Amino acid sequence: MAKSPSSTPAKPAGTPPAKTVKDLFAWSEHPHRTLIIGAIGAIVGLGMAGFGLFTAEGTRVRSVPPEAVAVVNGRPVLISDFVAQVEAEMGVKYSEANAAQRKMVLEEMISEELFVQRGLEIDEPSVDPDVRSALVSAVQTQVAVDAITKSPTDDELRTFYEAHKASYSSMGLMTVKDLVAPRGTDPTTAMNNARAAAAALRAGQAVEAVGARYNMKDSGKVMGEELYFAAQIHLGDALFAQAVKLKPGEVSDPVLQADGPHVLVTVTNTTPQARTFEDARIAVMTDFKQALQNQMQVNEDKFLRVRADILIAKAFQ
Amino acid sequence: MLQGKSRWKTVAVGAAVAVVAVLGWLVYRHGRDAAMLRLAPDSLPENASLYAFAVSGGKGVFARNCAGCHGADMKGDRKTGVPDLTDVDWQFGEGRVAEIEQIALYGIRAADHRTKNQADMPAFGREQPYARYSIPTLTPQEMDDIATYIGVTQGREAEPEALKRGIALFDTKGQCFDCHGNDMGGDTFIGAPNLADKVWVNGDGSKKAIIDIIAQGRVGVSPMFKNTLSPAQIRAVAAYIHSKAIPPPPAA
Ligand code: HEC
Ligand code: HEC
Repeated sequence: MAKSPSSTPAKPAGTPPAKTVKDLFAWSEHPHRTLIIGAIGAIVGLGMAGFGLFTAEGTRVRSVPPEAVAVVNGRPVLISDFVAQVEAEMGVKYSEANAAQRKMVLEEMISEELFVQRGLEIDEPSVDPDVRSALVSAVQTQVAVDAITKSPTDDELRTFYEAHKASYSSMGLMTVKDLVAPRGTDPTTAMNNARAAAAALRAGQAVEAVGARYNMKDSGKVMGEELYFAAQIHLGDALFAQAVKLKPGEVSDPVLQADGPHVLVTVTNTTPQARTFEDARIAVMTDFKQALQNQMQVNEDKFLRVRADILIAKAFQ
Repeated sequence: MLQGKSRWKTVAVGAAVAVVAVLGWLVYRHGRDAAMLRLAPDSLPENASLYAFAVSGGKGVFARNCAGCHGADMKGDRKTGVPDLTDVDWQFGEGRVAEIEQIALYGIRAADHRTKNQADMPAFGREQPYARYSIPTLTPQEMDDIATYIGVTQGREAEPEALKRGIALFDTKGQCFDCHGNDMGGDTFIGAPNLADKVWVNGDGSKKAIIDIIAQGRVGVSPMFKNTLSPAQIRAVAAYIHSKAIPPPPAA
């Protein structure tokens, strides 16, 4: 900036010449006020633009940003990822990896990036079924991420619990003995035996003794105490439906199945009990997030459809 | 009139100085950020001044992005399965800046191929305990026996027969050893916690809590921040967490 009168151009007549620095800052009278302010503005503006240019994401063209080891067609390979990759592949801490190992991993990462970019270039997603399904599930996961990472409040969880109270019960448990006539027994005899066995069991006779006397054996389908769903799988729906109705000590009527008539004796039967909110908390949280996740995926589908231009042929509408 | 003009002058000069100062500060920050980022993450703590710079920057990043789940004191919450970040006990890795930074970037079980997502805790009380591969359901008695076995490490008495069954189940049908190790020491690569210490990520270590985890499973998620935080913010928050944690004892 001009500090002495000699360096400033001629002034319009009538303006007293600036003699000292103090005079120069007699601002309102300064002849080049507009110019100087303009210059300051320009410098500041350039500075800001430059700063923005060199720090903004995606604008670095020919230099490697500080957080990257390399840039492949504009995509940075992060130092953090490189370090993690070296450690994972070489099984040593990064500081212990030698130059050759580091070089090898870097080359691999660059190659991978190149192949991924090439894959997009040749529109691999629309060709390869694996890539397609990976993309679909990636988008679904991405959409659901907010749901997964959301920390629901106690109130939200409680509301969800109240709305789905029925599904928060303790696990139903049963111990049941399942007797069946051996394969090959004449069907009528088998059914008669089964009826007699049921009567004897109801009269309080021991299971083993009754089995021996009426030629019925343990089916081997269930072993010890089982969760309801496990017992259901093991017994099959029809037998389970009978067993679940029985109180401990009760005996079913013969139930005819493809492998012959069965008689069920229930030893224990713990029906599911409602669980309190505190008790079911982990399960409520899991289900809450799952529900939210499903909802978000449905919303995403809706959103994509609204945005999309979809034409369906008349015959297929 | 003149007075108005001189006030105007002061304002203009003041504004110019402020802008220059802000710019200077930004350039300085940018330079420090760059210097901090250029280091391999684990070298950061060795550089006292850059480390201090990172730690001070990380405090606010943590408060805004992580404290919601991890707590302002970083102590986590065993009710919701959020681990304590200040102890020596790491679920993943050993608490190095590089490891924390990867979690800050890509999260745990988040949507990125670099996220930590090797295993979950199966739900042994459900019909299909595990989504990743087939594992058999455990009966309530079996879960009880295994919990008895784990309870021994917590100083609880165990009935010898139940203990014997529990050990056998841990090592065979339950496949617990596969993720948690034969000695229950855990696996910090897949994030399977140590079951033999007194540090619990989920629940309070009571028998009931342990059975609940075995029955219901557990899939904790820490979100990824790669797309929402800058590399400098990520590095800073990793340094901040590192600075708060008890350093691991020197290797024997
Ligand atoms: C939505 C809740 C949530 C938020 C927000 C969150 N975390 Fe987490 N974080 C978790 C949970 C839950 C775990 C445990 C995961 C598991 O059980 O495997 C975890 C685990 C971690 C771990 C591993 C701890 C260990 O013992 O190995 C680190 C490191 C971590 N988070 C860092 C962060 C950082 C850094 C942020 C913020 C930038 C953050 N988290 C934000 C929920 C969260
Ligand atoms: C496929 C791997 C895998 C198997 C098999 C497995 N676990 Fe886990 N377990 C995990 C993981 C991973 C976690 C951490 C889950 C989380 O916090 O998100 C975990 C957590 C736990 C916890 C909670 C620990 C804590 O500090 O909060 C207990 C208890 C546990 N497992 C017990 C068992 C038992 C008992 C078995 C066998 C019946 C078993 N696990 C089998 C992977 C496994």
